[in-house]
Amino acid sequence: MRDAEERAWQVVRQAFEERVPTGPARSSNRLLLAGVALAVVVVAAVASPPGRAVFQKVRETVGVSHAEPALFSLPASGRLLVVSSDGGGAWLVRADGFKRRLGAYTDAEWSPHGLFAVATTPHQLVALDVENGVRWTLPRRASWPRWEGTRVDTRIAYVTPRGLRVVAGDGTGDHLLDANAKNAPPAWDPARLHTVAYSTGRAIMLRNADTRTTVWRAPIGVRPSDLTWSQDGRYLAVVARKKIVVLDARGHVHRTVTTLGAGFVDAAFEPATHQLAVSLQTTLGSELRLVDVDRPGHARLLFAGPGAFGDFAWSPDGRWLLLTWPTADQWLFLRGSHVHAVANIREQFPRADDRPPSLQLAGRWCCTR
Amino acid sequence: MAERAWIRGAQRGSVADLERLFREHWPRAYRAAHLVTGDAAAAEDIAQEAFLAAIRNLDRFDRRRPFAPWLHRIVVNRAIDWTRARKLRAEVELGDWLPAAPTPELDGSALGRIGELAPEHRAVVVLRYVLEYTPGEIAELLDLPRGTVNSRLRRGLDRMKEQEA
Repeated sequence: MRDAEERAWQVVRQAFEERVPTGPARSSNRLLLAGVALAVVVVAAVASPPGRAVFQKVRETVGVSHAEPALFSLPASGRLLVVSSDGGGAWLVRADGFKRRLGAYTDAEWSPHGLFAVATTPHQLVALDVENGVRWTLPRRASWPRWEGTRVDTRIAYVTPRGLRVVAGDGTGDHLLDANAKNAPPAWDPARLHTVAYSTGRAIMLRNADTRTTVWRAPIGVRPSDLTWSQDGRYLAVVARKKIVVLDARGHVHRTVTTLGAGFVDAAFEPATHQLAVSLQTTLGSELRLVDVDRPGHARLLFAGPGAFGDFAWSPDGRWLLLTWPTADQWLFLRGSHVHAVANIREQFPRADDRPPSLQLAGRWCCTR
Repeated sequence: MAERAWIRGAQRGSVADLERLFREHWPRAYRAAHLVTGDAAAAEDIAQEAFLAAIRNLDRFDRRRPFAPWLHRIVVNRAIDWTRARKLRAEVELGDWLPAAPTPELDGSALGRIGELAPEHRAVVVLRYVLEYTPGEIAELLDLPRGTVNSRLRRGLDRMKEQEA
């Protein structure tokens, strides 16, 4: 019982330290205040049928003012892969703003040094040179391809309906690693070559893809939507809707981040730090916070606004964070208190059926070539 | 009263005061949840969730009111919900979770048979004989008529006596 009490106290204390007081806002962050104020307007507007027109009007005007009308350039070096779900395909975005649709891919990720990309179609795993086309294909119903390794020896992990599989970067040696792997993205351990973390639904596993030996097994009772490592491999964040469990390099629980009624949408470690950026959906709107996993209680609000935030990605140098904001039809490049907004995103990543795209870009802003 | 000071401190952001409040109320909250659910891991989750719910509403809490009934209302209602839901849920999901807390010892053989009761009866017996609320307070906590509380208490005790015989 004492163990239960201690576990519960840690969770309660962290939740208390990370809570947002319901009293008057203390932050001087103008964006936060503007966002919350606008959210109240939205709620008031939708509360009554005559308010629907007002709501539509408000929704049209949500967003950061003085936004650029188009993505003229990325604020940091590197290239970006953007995956538009529901048939929108995958896009390549260069630092100078050049955009090209790579094809009707359902997912796409960079190779470890950004020389190639691995993509999926409903029936194939595809390795491609983004400038020169397809290198090889493998007929698999693959999801969440993840590529790791050195410049001369790489592996690609991907999930099929029959489990987690791994193939070498040249398309050889494809094999089943674990038939019990469930529908969640795998994540390569940056500190252990060819070693991948994945979910079985009942536990998080860390296993060497070549020797198939299990490094550790953490019985975490959550269904993760994502697994994300810190760059040094010291921490693995297991992201679920209601909580994020941060495991250390031995698979022990280092910290649990709870939501207090909000839902986690996404999380990613800032490169070269143990700061975990987390995207939250609250009753009033959305928030992006930076949680220091080494210092419980230290969470910093980066941005808040009405409606839904989508995916976000760190720039390769960790100085910028790109946040998608579908409600505002904007992308936001955040750096400290500086916000650079780009509008008309739907127009720039059009779908064949003209519906608003749902854009994925987490982990896809990669290294310079 | 110390508890009011702790709540006031917690409302102002004091972790130390929140911990005092937590340490004071955790044992009984956990015990009540465990007796209603009969499951240590579920009891831990329920008691923890009750405290998280309390934190969410801390800023709105009236310090003149006692904290325990407020917390126990959440605990017992969630424990009843969990016990009802378990009947509809495959137990295999529970087998591989974080290590369950050890089972607390029960006071006397009678309480050991509480698991034989329906969840609603368990709740009122726990509130009356473990948390020592009066029938009137239980009626208020569970939003039940006082007569219903009394009848559930009587039936619950009768059932436990039958088990003993």
